[in-house]
Amino acid sequence: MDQLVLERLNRERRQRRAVVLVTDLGDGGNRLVCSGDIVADHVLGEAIETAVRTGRSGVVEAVGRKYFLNVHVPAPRLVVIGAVHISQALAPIAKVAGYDVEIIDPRTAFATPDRFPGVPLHAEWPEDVVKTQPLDAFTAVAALTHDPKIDDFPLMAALDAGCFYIGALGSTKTHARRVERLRTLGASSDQVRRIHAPIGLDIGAASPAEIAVAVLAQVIKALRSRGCDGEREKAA
Amino acid sequence: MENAQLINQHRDPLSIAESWMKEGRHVALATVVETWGSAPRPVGSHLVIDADGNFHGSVSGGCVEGTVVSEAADVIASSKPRMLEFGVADETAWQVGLSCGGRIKVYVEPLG
Amino acid sequence: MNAHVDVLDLVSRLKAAEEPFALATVVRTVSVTAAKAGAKAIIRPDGRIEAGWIGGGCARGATLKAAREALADGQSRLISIQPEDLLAELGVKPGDDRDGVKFAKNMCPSQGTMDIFVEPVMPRPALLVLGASPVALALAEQAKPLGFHVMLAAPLGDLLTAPEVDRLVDGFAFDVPQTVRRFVVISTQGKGDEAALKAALAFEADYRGFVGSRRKMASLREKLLGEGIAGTVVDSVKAPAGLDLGAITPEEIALSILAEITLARRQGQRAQGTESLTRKGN
Repeated sequence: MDQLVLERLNRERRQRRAVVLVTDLGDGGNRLVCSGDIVADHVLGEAIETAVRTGRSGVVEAVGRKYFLNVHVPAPRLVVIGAVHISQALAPIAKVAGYDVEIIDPRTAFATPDRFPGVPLHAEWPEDVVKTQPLDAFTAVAALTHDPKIDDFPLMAALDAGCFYIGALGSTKTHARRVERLRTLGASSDQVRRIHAPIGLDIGAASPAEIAVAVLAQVIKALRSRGCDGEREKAA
Repeated sequence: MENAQLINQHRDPLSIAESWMKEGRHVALATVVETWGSAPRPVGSHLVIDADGNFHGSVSGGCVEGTVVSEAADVIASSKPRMLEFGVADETAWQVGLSCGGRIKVYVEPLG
Repeated sequence: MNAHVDVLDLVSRLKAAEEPFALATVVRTVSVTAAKAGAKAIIRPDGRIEAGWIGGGCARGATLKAAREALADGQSRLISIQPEDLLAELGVKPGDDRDGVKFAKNMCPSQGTMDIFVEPVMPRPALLVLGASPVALALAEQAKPLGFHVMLAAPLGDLLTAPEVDRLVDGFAFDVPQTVRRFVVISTQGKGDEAALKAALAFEADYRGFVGSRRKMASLREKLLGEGIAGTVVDSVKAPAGLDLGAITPEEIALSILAEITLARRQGQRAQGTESLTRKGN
């Protein structure tokens, strides 16, 4: 592998972008396919897209040659706005499912370590946390506080960052008011359509723990059905 | 999946490979490309090796690293990649006492 | 009836033992009554008053009936036991239901009115996970916050570490948990599929799921039919288990199954008016 290819591969990985290293197992040639170029790759396009969506590396054959596709997909993050009851159930099950979970809630009475053992917790405003840890296409955001002062900013930031999943707690009526506020803040109608609200798959959830299951199920579904740039939903 | 946000530059084989190259060392990269059965490390796992036999990473959790490191020396010397195959039946390769199982293919390529 | 047992102590003992019972509490009395507000009784599914006192024969019949109904449908209820003339004044007959209050006749004509709240206390629903596969272990872990009694059955030799479950069984021969609702997931990954499936089909369950392909299930179906198990019973198994989320990792598959079980668990209750928070309220 060429040094420039390796440098670029590492740069993309550090930037939390999906990238595939394609190695021709016949002649040893390597090339790097980044998110934007995948569709244009007519020989291996489909195989590469599947590899990125599933996160699975492997050997594929095309036009009589064998290629190894090594997929580098960042670990999915789940940013939960609100250190509430639902979050207490959501954090452990999402961790088991392979997500890097963190919880943001400026209300210090809620965001206490004994309510969330072993979960990174920011008792700060989302505005301040997002500055140092920007949201990206491999991040899911679930806004659960019911408080526009806390929820609205991260929802807006999630839309702008093209997060693969954005969900917000609240009834259809509450959400209609939220949509109005977000539109005033400059969100397009296509953007606000990406927000899952009321949050969670409709599985009849009747307790905070069951809502947590409904939310995580929806997050997984979004991750596994997204396009290779993590933004299929946005484009659709 | 990997957590690129938390990529530890001192432990990540690909980051180490890059810094070794920049130091002017001759380096080979070994990658698990296929597995069958209960292989100890998944497809895509890396081991990076330099010409002096220093190495970082893992392709089998310690089962076949010794062989891969010595093969890597040939790869560096010849600048030609090669494919290595290991199986449970290969008792010389699979050391006793490790949770070794299944069959793996490891691709070893020169860097630079 | 044992007057020496403190009702609340027995409540916690029965709860810990996962035994079903109904708790009846007098919440209001008018005029002369045998028991006063705060009096409590524990009623078992066979109609036995295990502890406490709610006023002897005057209110007994109506309370036991409410307890029986509460244990059957899992819902709490408020009954108002009044003398016949007062019922007539209100324009209701014994057995009528108005604004969430069920009326009944006081069997002792000289006595007053008693309002009694009757709540069923059910054992936790059981989640039976059969197998030691990564999906099985992830499922047992993820089900914890959902209030299931989790049992994991597998050849213990297949487990590297003991999972944290309510009950761990070696192999697939186990006593079926005595509870109202049971959910079974078979995730044996080829190790004892048939034995585990047979065990899962041997008792009543609200949900049965098999982690494996449709094809795998079809071949197992043939074997089970060959052994005389009814097709309708075998076909109650959902294969592959789980909602279609595009799940890939074992942990994602486990969550898709947990979501499907939640759906099955709440579906029966929706008819009785339990609202789906994810659809309507949040």
